[in-house]
Amino acid sequence: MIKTYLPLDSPLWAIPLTASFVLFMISVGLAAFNIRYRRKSRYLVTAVMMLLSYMMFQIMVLYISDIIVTQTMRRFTSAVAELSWQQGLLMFTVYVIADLILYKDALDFRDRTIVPMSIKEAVDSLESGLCFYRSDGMIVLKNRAMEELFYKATGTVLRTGLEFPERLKTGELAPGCRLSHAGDIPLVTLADGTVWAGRVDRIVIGKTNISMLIADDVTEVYTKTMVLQKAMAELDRLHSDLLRINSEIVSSTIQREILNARLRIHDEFGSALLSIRKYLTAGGTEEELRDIEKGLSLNISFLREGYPAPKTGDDYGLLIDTGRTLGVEVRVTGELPEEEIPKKVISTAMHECLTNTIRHAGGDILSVSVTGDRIITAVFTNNGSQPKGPVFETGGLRSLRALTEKAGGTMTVETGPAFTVTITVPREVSYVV
Amino acid sequence: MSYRVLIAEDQAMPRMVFENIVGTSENYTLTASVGTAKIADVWCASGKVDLVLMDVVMEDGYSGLDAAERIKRSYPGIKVIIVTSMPDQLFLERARAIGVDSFWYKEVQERPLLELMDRTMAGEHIYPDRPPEAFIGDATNYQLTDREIDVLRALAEGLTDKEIADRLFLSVTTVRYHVNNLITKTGLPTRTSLAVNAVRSGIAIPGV
Repeated sequence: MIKTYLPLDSPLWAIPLTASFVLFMISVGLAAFNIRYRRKSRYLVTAVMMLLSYMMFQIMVLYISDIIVTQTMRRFTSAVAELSWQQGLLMFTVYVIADLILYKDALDFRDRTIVPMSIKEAVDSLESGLCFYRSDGMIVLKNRAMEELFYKATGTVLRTGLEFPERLKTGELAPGCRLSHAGDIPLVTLADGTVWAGRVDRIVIGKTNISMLIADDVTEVYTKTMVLQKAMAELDRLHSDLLRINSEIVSSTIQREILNARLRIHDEFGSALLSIRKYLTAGGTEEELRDIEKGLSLNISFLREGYPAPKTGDDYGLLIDTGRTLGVEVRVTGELPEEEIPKKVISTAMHECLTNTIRHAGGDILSVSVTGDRIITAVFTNNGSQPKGPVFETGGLRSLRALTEKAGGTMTVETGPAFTVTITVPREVSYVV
Repeated sequence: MSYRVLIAEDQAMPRMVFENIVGTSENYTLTASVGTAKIADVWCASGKVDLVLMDVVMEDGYSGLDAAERIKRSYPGIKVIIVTSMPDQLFLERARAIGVDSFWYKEVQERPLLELMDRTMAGEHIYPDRPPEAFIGDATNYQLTDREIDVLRALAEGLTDKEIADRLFLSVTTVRYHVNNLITKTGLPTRTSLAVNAVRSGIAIPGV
């Protein structure tokens, strides 16, 4: 078989030379990718591919430069050079296909596998700022939003995880930035008007304690909350106005009711007088006389006694008076609170305990001990018989617990040695029960 | 046997009327007559009460229906009769739901209270078919739909259209439709006047 060789001075050598160089660069890229993602199973393949492509490239260079020095190289390069063009093309094609397969494999791996870089890319795409750091402040992971936020808020670069929480405590921020709080949550208002809420959560990974600093952009919520607070204040004012008006209307309705009753008495009184007149002129039976007397005396009693104001008043006084009437003395030591919310809670507890003393314990003394200034503690006990079994919180006790807890207080029920209900409630409560 | 009666009524006139009715009957004795529903259940705890005559709207803001509910829950054997002058349909519905034994309108008096008490103690439940007629503007409560009365009650509480819609599971558009209908039917000029007249007429009392 006659072999034909491409003359060394042919410009066509540029084609395999360029192709082998490109293949070599691709192999280098693939090798770098696999090393970066620690794909050890691909190390050998990519190394061989890189070596082969390097050799091919070198051979091409040698041919072109026509510098063949050693006997070994001469033999190898002669063998390659002596391949027919079909064999050379086949070898080249196989090599290209292998490179393509590896390239596709690398792309698939990158798209489908979560590696540390994927996590970094993912957290960088978040709008919230994130920073994970160890207890000594060393940062494990932070995202772009956190870096930008810290820079805008302090004018410096985030170097340690402890720095931001510290600044949120001390309020040392860049000019134009402001620190405020919504409850326990620190809010940073940046110079550009955006508002960020920060918090630190602790998580344990393996045996390492990691702190997670999260900063959320709450500008929209903050702005709307401000608007809502203004609207709520206005609504509260309107609501209290309406309640006042309604209470006046109820009062006037009651007055109308009284007026109607007076009119009815007037009519009945007139009717009674007519009956008397009829009886006096025409006479009648004893029974008719008794009816007339009964109707008249009823109306006269209303007129004589007038319309005494109903007994209203203080909740505590009302309960103490009712207890006394029913044979239970309510003994109070300490000062019962007069502030609206604690008064509602303590008077409801007194109500419940008085009912229990009368209904279940059969006692005649309900002791109420009130102590405390900022937090009021009220202890209720009675001298009646103690419950024989466990006391289940149903009905009144359950409602009392709900009311107490809603007012920010606590309720404890002890069944022995004496049945005792203990209520604690803050004197100042910022919301309405 | 004589039944023991507790009267819970904040107004002197009706209270005296009830006291006289109880006092003049051989079947009943008066245990107590109190000016607020707040302590009615304390009296019931004493075991000295068989029947409660309970008003609904009290001047101290405490609802007689709330008190009735507590009594029926804790002391189901005690009979409760609601006595009211307010024509609010909801009073009737809530009284039935609570399990109140009978219901009596002070202003209408279809039958004497004493007869109602006797029949209630005999185990009957006597309720009027509907509340008495009352005017709000040019309309009466009979001309308003149940839904319109619900909206009227919410208006009297000072709720906005959005809040009314949320409470009644309606759309805001539907609430506005009902409010417009109320204004058309009653001839009252504004939402505020609707709210005020709802309470004044007793057709829709908020918070009961």
